[in-house]
Amino acid sequence: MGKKPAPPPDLVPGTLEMLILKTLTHGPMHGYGIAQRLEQLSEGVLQVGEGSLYPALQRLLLNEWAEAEWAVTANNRRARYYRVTAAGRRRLAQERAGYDRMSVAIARIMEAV
Amino acid sequence: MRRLWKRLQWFRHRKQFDAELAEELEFHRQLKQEELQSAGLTEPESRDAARRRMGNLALATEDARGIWLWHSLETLWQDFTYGLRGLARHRGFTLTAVLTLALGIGVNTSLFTGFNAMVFRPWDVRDPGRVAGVFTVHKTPSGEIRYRGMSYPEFTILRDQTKQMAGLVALSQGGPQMRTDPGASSRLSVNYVSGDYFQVLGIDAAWGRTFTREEDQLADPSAVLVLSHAVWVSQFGSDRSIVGRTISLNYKPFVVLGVLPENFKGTDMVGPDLWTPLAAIKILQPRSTELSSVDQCCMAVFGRLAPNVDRAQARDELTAIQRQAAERFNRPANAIFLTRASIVVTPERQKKIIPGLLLLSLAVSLVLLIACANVANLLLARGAARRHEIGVRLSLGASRLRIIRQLLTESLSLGLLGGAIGIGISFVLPGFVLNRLADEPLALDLQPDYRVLLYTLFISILASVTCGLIPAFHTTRTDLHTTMKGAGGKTGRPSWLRTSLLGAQVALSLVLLASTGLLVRGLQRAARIDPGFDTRGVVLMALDLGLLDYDAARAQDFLRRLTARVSALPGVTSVSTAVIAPLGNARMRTSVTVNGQEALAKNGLNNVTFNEVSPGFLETLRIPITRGRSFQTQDQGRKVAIINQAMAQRFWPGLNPVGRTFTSDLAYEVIGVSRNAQETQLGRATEPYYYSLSHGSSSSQLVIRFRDTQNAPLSELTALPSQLDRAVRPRLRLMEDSIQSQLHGARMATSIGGSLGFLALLLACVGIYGVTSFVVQQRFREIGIRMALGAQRRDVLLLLLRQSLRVVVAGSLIGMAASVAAASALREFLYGLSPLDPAAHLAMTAILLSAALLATFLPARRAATIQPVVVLRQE
Repeated sequence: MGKKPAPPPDLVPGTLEMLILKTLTHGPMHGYGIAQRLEQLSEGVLQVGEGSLYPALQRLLLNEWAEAEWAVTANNRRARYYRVTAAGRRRLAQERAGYDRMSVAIARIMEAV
Repeated sequence: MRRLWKRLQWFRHRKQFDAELAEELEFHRQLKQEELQSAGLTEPESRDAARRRMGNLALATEDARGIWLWHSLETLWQDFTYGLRGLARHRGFTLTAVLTLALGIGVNTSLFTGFNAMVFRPWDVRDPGRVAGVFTVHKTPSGEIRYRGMSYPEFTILRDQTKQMAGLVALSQGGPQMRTDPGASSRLSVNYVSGDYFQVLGIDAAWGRTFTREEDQLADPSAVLVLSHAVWVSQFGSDRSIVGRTISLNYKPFVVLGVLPENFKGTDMVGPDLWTPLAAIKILQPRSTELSSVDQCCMAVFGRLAPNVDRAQARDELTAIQRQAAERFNRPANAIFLTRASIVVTPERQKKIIPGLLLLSLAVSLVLLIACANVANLLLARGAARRHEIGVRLSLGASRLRIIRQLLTESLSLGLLGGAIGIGISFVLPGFVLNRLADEPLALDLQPDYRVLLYTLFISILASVTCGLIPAFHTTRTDLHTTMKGAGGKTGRPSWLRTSLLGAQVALSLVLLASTGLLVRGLQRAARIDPGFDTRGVVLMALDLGLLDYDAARAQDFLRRLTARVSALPGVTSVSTAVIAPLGNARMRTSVTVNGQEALAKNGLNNVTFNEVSPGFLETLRIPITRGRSFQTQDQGRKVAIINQAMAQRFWPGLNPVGRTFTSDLAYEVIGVSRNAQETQLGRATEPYYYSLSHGSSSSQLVIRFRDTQNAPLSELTALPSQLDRAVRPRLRLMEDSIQSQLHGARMATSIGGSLGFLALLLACVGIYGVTSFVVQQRFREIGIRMALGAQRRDVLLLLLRQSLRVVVAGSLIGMAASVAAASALREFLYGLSPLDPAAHLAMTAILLSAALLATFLPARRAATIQPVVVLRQE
């Protein structure tokens, strides 16, 4: 009965977390920055809505894959910066391996047909 | 586990979380707005656009929170508050259900409180987890395991050699000693304890100080003592200046060193009035061999484990030392058994209290079951009334499980409220009962502790589920179609479920009531028990000569002169002495050998009870001689004995024992056989018994027969001993009172049983009343129509009575069968009454039936007053 936060319709569940973790490996970022970065890197293909970004960030916090800290931005505004943890890096490596296998498998099937 | 912790952390800081999330989203929105503004939009345009682009912020917030929330936790809370709101709306229902559960839970919690105080709760000492009782393990010839203390010499060896115990102390129950201050004579019970007893247990005096090991030197005993808080209040008027003063015990001056804190009541079931060093035995009881003899078994020993030592290590070490000690004293070695530091610790003592506790717990469980059945029925009735509401919710898409969970949460609220009141009951009830049960104030700490709270929580939840589960399933099993049409739940007849719950309640109540009936009948019978001697007109006079340092010869002389004076009083028909007073709950036991009957020893059947008396004793009590002759004055000094019929039967079955001999400490010649009498305890099975002649004993009592006790010159009698020795303070006891006090336990058992039985009856009647009222309400329409069609009030009344009584009678029949089966457990308390005693069973069934009739009649009568017009107008 519980309304679980819906995953973005265009992403496999869990993928968003992987992408966020990957983004965070370059250094601490706030939520807006992460959204921007994802949009830029995917050249506008991935438009991450706030409705899925913030739940995903909370999930990272709950699992201790990321930690958050309030800091002041270059424009002197308070923002919450997220940083990937050691556990988060391990998780990313796992996800990455799984993703690689999966994408190779999908590619093979798509080419075979 | 970590996630659980983080979730709980989150729950604690959820306000802050919400604020931070809001701030974060607002920051996001601002950046978005600036981004749009720099793309050329005006400020208001960009604000709106940013908001639109952000989508549903409330949903985003909820979803972000949802990550942390336990969904079930949240709905549980919702259900709980919803349930409480519902309960607050139906105050009558809530009050009935909560009180019913509170009574059921309260009696259970009270029983557990008593049990907890005896078995689980440690003494109020420093770090009780490191304190251990030290027992030696013995095996009786018949193979039973017994736990004993040890002799003082044995204890000193253990104390001096142990490395695993940081301190080892001994305690001897001194029994009552005489306070002999001028104008303040009283008996004070004493514990003789090792000098470092208080240091090892970690107890400091509330005022003054406790004694030390230097004051416990056998060679130079110090006459010092420490008072209990209770006796300091009751006998010394809470006077702090008592510390340092001298009081007189058995005419010996003792210095009061200090007063103990109120919460320390000693280390046994009954707390002593004062403590002295062990060495002071030499001052108070100079004749005692307790500190020198290795034959004395029973000094209680306990100690504190040394740091980093566990019980197994300490036990092994002590067992090894004990073996050496036993070798040195040429006695059998025993294993050592370590216990926790609470009041009832050895398996042996636990075995003694367990049968009674089991019976009681059975009874209180029955009460709780009845209460649960009651509340279940109330919930069913309420559920039926809520069919419509639940039907609406089900048809709006709520899942059945969700509603069941919500209903269960509601009964859980009821159970927890009941449990809270139950705890309140357990603050009062156990102390009230135990203080009436025991002759002496008990050293039990009956304040509910965390164990009691946990137990109450446990049975509250258990009771909630028991009474809530079936109604919850039943209520949600609705036919939506009929419910929504508005006719649901008005099917008239009470469901089979409600009927069987009611029947079960009646049956269980009858079990408790019948047990009460049996106990009452047993008590009546006990009051008529023939103890085998004539109790009327007999007065017992205890003299406590032993406390005054009398030896046998002096005691003999004193008793002879006192007997002469007492005989001269008007109304006295006979005077004699006995070491053991009849019906005093005390007895002396010895093993006996008879030529040709050696086999009896194997089963312990050669143990007999005996008494040392003066020649006229049997005549004073009017115990008839059936064979041979009674004692005569010229027997004094001879080794002759009179045995009872039971002893004759055991050792010389079918033979005439007169003229034969048996050996206990010495060889005795049997000169007569007396009729069996119950001298130790009323209602106890007759035991083999012999009387021999006393050669003077400082523990002898006077047994005096008056023509009648009403006109007996008791004050003159009391004055006589002090004319011979002003130190002697006699205590008088009427034999008839002794019989009453013998029945004290049975009377208590009966009143406890009676209260529980009454409670059960009350609950059952509330149940019957409730269900009948409910039926009346549900059949309101039907009854109105019946009456409109010409039914008489009498018909309506009969209709309802018949319906309810069918259930009650069926329940009673089951209950009768169950109580017949249960009654045999009570056999021990019935003084020979048959557990099937028809009077008890039938009378209680009759009481139950009439109470049930009344509980049905009241609501049924209301139904009979229904005005058909009112009903028809409602339609």
